[in-house]
Amino acid sequence: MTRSAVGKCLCGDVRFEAQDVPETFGVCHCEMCRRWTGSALLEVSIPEQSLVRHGKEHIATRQTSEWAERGWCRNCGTGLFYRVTMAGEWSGSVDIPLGIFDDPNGFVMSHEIYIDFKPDSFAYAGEGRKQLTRQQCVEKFSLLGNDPADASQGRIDQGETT
Amino acid sequence: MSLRTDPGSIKVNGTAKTFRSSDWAERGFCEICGSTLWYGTVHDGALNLSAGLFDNAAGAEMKIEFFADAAPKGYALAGDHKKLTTQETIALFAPDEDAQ
Repeated sequence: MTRSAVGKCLCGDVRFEAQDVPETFGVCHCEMCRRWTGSALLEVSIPEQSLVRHGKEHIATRQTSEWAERGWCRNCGTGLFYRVTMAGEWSGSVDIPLGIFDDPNGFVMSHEIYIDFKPDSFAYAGEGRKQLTRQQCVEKFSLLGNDPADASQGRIDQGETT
Repeated sequence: MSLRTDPGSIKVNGTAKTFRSSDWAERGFCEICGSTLWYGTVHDGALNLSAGLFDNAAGAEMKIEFFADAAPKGYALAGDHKKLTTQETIALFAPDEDAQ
């Protein structure tokens, strides 16, 4: 089942409205998501065409890997999205951090990936979600290729995103 | 998730930008990639460094969770670390102010 939802960054410069919002979210512990968020990326995946953004001039983006870009608010630094840019079966959706929804409740953790890269210092309680190691992810998602760990290979891309 | 450091003990080089998120704190992030860098208290200049900057969170142990009752219902942090509610967190940091 899906529904609509709204959200915004900390300072409010960037706001969004989304349709076709699922009830589930995923967690990624890869090194890039770890450094970017400080812990892990908790993301709700929404079809790109179902997302409307306001304040796009405040969004900064960076191509952080061969296959994806990330966006954040220039003013307050809030992470806004992770988006697969590589054409193929995994493009067409935008992953929104769970915490920027105005109502972040009502989501269930469905999967937790790169679980072998998670720091020892924390773990999420509960059971039922699917956990995948890096190797399992690389096998399942062909776009990950060799998954370079060096995020500094990305290029900066300021300005409006799609 | 952050690692507390002593005021004045951290030297920052590079493309850090800050946002004054409240009267008492500012949040640091990288201008180039948006990475979360710190939560800093204004009164003493202490930086709570983002745990994700370090491999394996620098081997640190999670000691305390603030605003634990405000966490979205879809997840919770496991473990027997100290968990403070919103009210307890505010009381801890602003004991002289009227309770909400």
